[in-house]
Amino acid sequence: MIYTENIFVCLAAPLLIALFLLGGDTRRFFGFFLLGLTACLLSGYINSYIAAAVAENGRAPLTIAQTLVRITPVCEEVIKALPVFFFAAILAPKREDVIAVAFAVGLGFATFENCCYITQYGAGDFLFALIRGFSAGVMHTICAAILGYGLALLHGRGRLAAPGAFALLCASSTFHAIYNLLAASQEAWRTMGYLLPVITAAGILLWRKRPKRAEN
Amino acid sequence: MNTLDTIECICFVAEAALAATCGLLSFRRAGKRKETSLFCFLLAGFYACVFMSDAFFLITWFVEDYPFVFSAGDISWVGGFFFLITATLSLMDKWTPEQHRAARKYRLPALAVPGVCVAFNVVYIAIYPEILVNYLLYAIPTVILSYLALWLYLAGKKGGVQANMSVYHRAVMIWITVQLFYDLFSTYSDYYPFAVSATVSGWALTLAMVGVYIAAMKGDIE
Repeated sequence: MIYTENIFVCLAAPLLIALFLLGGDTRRFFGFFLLGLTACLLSGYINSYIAAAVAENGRAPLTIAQTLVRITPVCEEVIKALPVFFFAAILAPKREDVIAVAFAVGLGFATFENCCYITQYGAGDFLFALIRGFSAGVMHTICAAILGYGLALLHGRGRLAAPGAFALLCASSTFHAIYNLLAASQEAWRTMGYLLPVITAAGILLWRKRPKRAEN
Repeated sequence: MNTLDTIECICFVAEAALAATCGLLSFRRAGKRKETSLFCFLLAGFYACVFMSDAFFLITWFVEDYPFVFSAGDISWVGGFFFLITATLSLMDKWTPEQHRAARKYRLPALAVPGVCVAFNVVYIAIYPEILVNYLLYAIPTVILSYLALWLYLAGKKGGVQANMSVYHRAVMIWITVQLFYDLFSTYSDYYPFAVSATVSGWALTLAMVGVYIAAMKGDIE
């Protein structure tokens, strides 16, 4: 058992103080980073609640692997997306701001999740920490990228925003579920799962570095 | 794995490969043509969702033996529907006020097709009432997309509003129709004739999905 609330307080306290000292875009970034940490804590509670509720309703209790594939991805992605949706819909920012906020929430989420894992399983094994950082950590960044770039594309498009945002949420949840499914499987599949986020990140990087079209 | 399972498995692999190809081509086109980049991006999103849905299903098939009631594969498929809805809506962004007025009178006749979709879904729910939420999640986007596709098809064909994209709307309607039959047959797939029909309609669904890409590009070029 780990005391996630204690880890949360420890990470959130300096960020909270920094929010009062900073200003502008930096404050916004750290504010949403803090919301990412909070989203991770909340999703831990809600995942446990849903898994318990399924068992309470007389159905067969889900195994850890089934919970990871069926409940966790949807629950985590929805909670992570809520601050980004709120920011994009209510505060009507610029396109670039939506991307930055989505990344901030995703990074905050990944940071808190990694801290909890390291506390639970020990920080002595460097390989474990490396794999954890480059797999689950990058996976959350990819999910944030899907949401951020997608919402930025739909920004200011009125009626396209709602169905588009839902579609993006479905896409990021499925990517998360595929990663969890592979990471919870046997050796070869698990390796494939660990590589999936890095390969996808490389693809996005290549896309961003492509030669731009000539604007006429 | 029996013969039908093997054929179904090959069908899923083919669908995943074709969805990946169409998605990459749409993505590439989005980068090339600024005027239609949003539509092509959303089309790429649709194919990405189809690819992920197939990939999830195949991995689950090979790796685990979960009972299938509702999974991330279904969520991705529903996401694909919503990408297509958004792509179809994005076509209306360029309409002039006159075009909006001209298209309005085709709204009522277009309601016929969602009625058929609802009837199909009532049949599914009657068969398996315990998975009502699953079917509702499919039924809602199917009804919205079929309504939009028929409305914009009629507006293009009869009213001349964005007539070049009529071929795309027709392809979307064909895809939805095949999807409905696939769902119906796969619901009964424990029984032999329906299992064969499900496999056949699975391949038809793959072809219809490629048809959507070809039609979208054809309409876009015109």
